[in-house]
Amino acid sequence: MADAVQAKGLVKDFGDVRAVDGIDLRIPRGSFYGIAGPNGAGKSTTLRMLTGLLRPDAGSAEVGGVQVWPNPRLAKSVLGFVPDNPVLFDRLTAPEMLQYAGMLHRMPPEAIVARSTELLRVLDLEDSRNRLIADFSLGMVKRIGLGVALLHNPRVLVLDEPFGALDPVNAQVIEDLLQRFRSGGGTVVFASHVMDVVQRLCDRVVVIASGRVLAEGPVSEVSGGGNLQDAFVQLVGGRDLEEGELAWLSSWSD
Amino acid sequence: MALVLVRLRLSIAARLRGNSPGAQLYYATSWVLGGVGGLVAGTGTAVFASAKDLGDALLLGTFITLSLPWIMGPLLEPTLADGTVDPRRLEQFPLTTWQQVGGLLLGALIAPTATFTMLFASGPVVAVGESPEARVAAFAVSLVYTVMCVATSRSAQAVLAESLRSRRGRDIAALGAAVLVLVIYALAMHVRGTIESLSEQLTGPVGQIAGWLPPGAGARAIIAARDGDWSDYGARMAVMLAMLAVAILVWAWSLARRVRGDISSQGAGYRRSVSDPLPLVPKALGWLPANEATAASAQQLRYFFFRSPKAIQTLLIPPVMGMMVAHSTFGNLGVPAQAAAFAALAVVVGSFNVFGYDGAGFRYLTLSATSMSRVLWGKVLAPLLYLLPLLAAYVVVEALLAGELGQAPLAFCAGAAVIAVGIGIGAQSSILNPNDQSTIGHRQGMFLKVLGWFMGFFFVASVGAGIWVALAQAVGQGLTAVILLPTAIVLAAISVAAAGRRLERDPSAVLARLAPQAF
Repeated sequence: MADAVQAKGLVKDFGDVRAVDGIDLRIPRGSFYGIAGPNGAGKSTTLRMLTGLLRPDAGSAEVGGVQVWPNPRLAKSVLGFVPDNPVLFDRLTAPEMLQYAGMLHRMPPEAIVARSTELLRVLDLEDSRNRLIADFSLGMVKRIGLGVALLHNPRVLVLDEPFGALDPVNAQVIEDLLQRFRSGGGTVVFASHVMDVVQRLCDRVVVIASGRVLAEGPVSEVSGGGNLQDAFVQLVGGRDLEEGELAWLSSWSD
Repeated sequence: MALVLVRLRLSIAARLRGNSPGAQLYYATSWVLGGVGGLVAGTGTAVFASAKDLGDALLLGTFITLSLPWIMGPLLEPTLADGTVDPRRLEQFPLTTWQQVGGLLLGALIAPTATFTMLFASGPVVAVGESPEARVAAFAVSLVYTVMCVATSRSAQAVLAESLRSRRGRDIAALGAAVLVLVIYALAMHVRGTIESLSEQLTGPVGQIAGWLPPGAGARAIIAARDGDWSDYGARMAVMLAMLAVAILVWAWSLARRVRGDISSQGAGYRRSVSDPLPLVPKALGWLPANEATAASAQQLRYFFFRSPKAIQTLLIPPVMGMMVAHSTFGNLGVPAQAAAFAALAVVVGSFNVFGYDGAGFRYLTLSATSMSRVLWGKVLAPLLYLLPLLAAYVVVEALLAGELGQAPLAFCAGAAVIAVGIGIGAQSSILNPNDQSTIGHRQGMFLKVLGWFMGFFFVASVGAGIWVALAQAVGQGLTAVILLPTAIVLAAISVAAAGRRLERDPSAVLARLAPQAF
């Protein structure tokens, strides 16, 4: 199977700090791929380099057959990206934002109308079509962010913590939507801290810590056939409270 | 407990801009400026207090004038960026309302701005020829005046705080600020003129009323103490103390109100009932090609017309001020000069920071596969859709008033040329000096840079005006307009194109300024 996303030796330094230290990735087309790692592991930095938002100091990235650097604009045209906290023009309404996104992608007006109407319905935003995005809850912003990312029908969808702030009903709708996108040949790449979601949805997973790949492969392989959460803690190193630490927490006298 | 809050406030203020040597220098400089500026201002009030009649009027005028920034501050920049302790952060601690108010007030008093105010108001203490009692009384006035200004400002901020946390509240505050700026500007234009007329106004009925308003009462109390009229002094002090008490009570009430949940900021917000499946582009622009530039223009116009409070301020304040200045100051130079002056003031704000009305939104643009230069074209051209009709209307009105309707086409060309130059320079400013106006706070230091760009534009416009005059003498006004308007448009196009290429090459440089949290 051809790769939808490839990264070779990605490196990024911020001053003296090496955020990403030679990451290699091969994400098969049509897969549901999870990127896991502790806080500050380099997940978001990796995603930003893969999506053409951040130029790597070394290495290369390819998305949908397009070398991201030096063609970030071309790469962005074949992918959709939903950041952890989607940033949109929040003084527009959801239909206006979708039209804006469609026009920026030079889509024909008929396609913008048809797709945005359907997306608003599927994403349960039809009743809020007259409200500004600034007045949306975070869950609604995530949903319209996903709509904007999907509007131009990208080949690869990259999501950073897609299920955070979503209620169970909407999380289920988004899961179904992503599965449909995948079954149509699309590739879903998402970063998450929530291991049970990664285990439930993903075919493959990469665990990153300190900017390096600790483990990569099918979820069942990385989890060792058990719980991915336990495998993750084992890989990145857990922390236990020492005996006697914070003993004062239960020492009130009255 | 108050001292704990004072220490917290000082720590926040000192680290507001970071721990770098430059930030520390900025912090120290702000104190030096507050101190030195206060001493200079205090010298002025000392002189005013010594000189009767005109001095009294000036003392009254300056006390009122200095109170305006304290009153307008919370409206114009409803921010905690000056290092104020956010009351919301204190809620989790076991503090009474009065402990919070006391600590926050004391903390707010230890600031360069409060120091400036105190030194300004203390000037009459060292005025020549004052009795010892008058000096003590003047010191008491300066103390009460300073605490009153700070308490009123912080109280207003606390009252607004809850509503300002909602988008709707911020919109209303921004619109209120725009109206306030225009009213104050109109008043300033009204009372401007000779010092003698100002003196007449401040010693007449206007001055009588102003002398009983809390800030004016401070000045009048100092004058009463100097003249030995202690009953009048007591009455004026009572006015200030009453204002101070009201401010503190309102402050305490607003803090308690939040705990009770009596907040009214949960409004329905903006709603626009539309059934149009393509609602972004206004019908009037439907003839434009469906591309990135049109999309960006439409988005910008949506923001200008009742979406973004800062954009609405841009739409309201500069053109109105432009009309006032052009009409009053350039009236004797002819309609073309008036049109050019109006255009210069009207174009300057709306075109010099075109990405600033939604800094975070720029991040979306960098995510999309769009041509950033086309987006820039769309955004810089959007203001033309209201500027050109405004210019035409202004030119016709001024030409009719002057009885020189024949000058109207020339005047329109002069104004349009200035607008073109403004758009060209504005595009460069938008790329090289962008700042996010949609979020509050953390824009200290931007003022001088923005002012620098404005001054640069005014200088270029002045040079253009000089060329216009020189050329008109040689070839006549009509031919001058025919030569200079296309020249200005071409130069503007070159400038916008260059800015677009720069943006296309490195959008992250602009993103870093507009949404540093993205990095």
